[in-house]
Amino acid sequence: MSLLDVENLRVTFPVDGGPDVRAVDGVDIAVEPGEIHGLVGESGSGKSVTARSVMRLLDGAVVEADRFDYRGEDLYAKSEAEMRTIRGDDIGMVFQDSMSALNPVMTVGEQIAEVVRHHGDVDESAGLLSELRRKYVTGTSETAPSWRRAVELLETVGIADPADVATTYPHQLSGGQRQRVMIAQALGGDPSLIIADEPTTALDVTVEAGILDELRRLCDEMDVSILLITHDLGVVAETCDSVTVMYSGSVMERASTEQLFQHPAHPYTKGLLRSVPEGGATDGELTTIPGSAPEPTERPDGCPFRDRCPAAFEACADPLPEHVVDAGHATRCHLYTERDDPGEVAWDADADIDAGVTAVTDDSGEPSPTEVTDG
Amino acid sequence: MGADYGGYGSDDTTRLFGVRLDRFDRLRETLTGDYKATFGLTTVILFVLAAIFAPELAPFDPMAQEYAIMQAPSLSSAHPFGTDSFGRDLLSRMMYGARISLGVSLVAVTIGAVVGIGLGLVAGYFGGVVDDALMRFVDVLWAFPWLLIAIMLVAVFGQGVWNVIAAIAFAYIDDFARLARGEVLSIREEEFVLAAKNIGLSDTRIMIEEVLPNAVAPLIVQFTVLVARAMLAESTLSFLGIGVKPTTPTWGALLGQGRSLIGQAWWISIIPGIAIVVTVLGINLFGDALRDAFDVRGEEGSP
Repeated sequence: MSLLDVENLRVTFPVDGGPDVRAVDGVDIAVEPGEIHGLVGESGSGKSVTARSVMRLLDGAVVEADRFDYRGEDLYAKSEAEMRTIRGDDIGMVFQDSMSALNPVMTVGEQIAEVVRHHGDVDESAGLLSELRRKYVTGTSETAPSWRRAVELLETVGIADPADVATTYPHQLSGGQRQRVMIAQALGGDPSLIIADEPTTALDVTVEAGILDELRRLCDEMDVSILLITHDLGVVAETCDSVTVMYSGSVMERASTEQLFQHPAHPYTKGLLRSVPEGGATDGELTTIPGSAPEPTERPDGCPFRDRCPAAFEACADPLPEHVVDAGHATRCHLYTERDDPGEVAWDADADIDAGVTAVTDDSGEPSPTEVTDG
Repeated sequence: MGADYGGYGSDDTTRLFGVRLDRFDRLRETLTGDYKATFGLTTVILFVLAAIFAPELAPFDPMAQEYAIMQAPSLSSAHPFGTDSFGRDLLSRMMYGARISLGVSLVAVTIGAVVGIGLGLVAGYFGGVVDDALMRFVDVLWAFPWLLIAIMLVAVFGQGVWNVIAAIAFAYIDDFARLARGEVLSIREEEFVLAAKNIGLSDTRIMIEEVLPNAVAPLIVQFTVLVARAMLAESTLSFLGIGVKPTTPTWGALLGQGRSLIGQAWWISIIPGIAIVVTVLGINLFGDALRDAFDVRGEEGSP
């Protein structure tokens, strides 16, 4: 059974005096126990909204889904009190900007110890009065079990001098250290799932590699599943076991990391992979997918990618199909359901795409020019 | 590596009744490192001690009248501050007066702060209808002249310490509410509030445990400024004769009584005047130091 199993998730933000914004439009997502699942997509593809809908913390949004199960139980059927126990206890969250996601006026040890007291297995009161005493007057005693656990967690996430670092404030730490602190905080309640929302985007590549290694190690050693949100295919390749590719509120492709990189099926995935800069010196421009993602209110019918897709044809205006490419590999592209032979997507015709026009094969097998939206 | 953390080590921790004293290092450093802060703290402590131990320290009974030495000037042998128009020792009256003046303003501002911060916190955190309703209520409080409330209270309940406290507290609720709300409005948008929800804290706890500590610095400054203003307000009420009982010595009342005699006996009004000014200044300087000590993000010791 999947740890997290979401089917046909739709998230809509009502807008005063305008059309509602459907940020997520029919997303399926499944995270298996003990894996790192990547949720990849460009800005505005709805990946963060998808992830945050798991915590039920999307203010003002209408969330609908055919299934929204965590450990086989419907998260959206739970009471708010039950959700508070699940947050932090079963599901931890790591944010992108560790500077603003940590409370600036509390020591990091305090912030981890707090989670431990609320969710962990320590015999310490987390009542309002004792918490107020700790926060405003005495601080958590460093002999208290929650504090010792906090120091332990800091050590687990690879912080040197954990006992010293626990007594520092967030602004006294480096970005990488803060990110590790956040991971330690997410681990404070012994969760089964950690949602990491672009945890390394604000870091430089060396530090990023360290954090990703850490996530990988936690996943392997501590039996934590991780839902890793990123826009960086490099991060996916390095870290994830399986991937969901999102585009403009919909899932385009879902596969194991190996399948995705070896045999990408969807034209969008192919385009993304083609845009990854190769190592070494390159002259000239980086490869891109022409055009930009549509606004949620201006999505075309059917496949949201069809305006930018070099292989688009009439069927693309129909609702997205579901095609199983292989075991554990599915894509939502009409090329596979409407055509006997999907053929090769004409992504390699660089010159033609740059010119805004590309040759694609239509149903009759004859080449015809197709306009590609340019910006 | 450990050296980079501003000396917050865990090895050399000293404690007092289980409280880790290194938490107060900043406060101690700020209060002793800056002469203005030291002055502020010393002044406040001296005045508070003088008020608390007035019965032990006062050289004379503040009510005892000595007709032989009416309006004795300052520095006259037995009466360092002189005597008032009834021959009562001014130093003793000042010390007893400090009890009312300091006590009333501290209690009144504390009440105003608790109610005001509570309202502002809830209004700012929840926003929307809650915010509108609470802040309109605060607007009504603000629109009410506090002097009128004081007069009304005195008219209904008669003169008394608690009426003065109520009138002053009432007047300061809106100051605290507005300031707290403004702070909370920006703090609640910070990601750590969302992070706190993500670790399963309830709204009440997030407000009190996560948001409020971030708003403490400006609220402390507001508190000290208003304590100073409350002393003036208490003086005003006593001066107008609607404060505490007229015979009770308070700084404002002393000032008011001395006013008509300023030609013959300047010290009767000047001395309580100086006391008010020095206390207000001391409290403000102390407040600035407190704010610096609480603001863990700021530069150390910047005035």
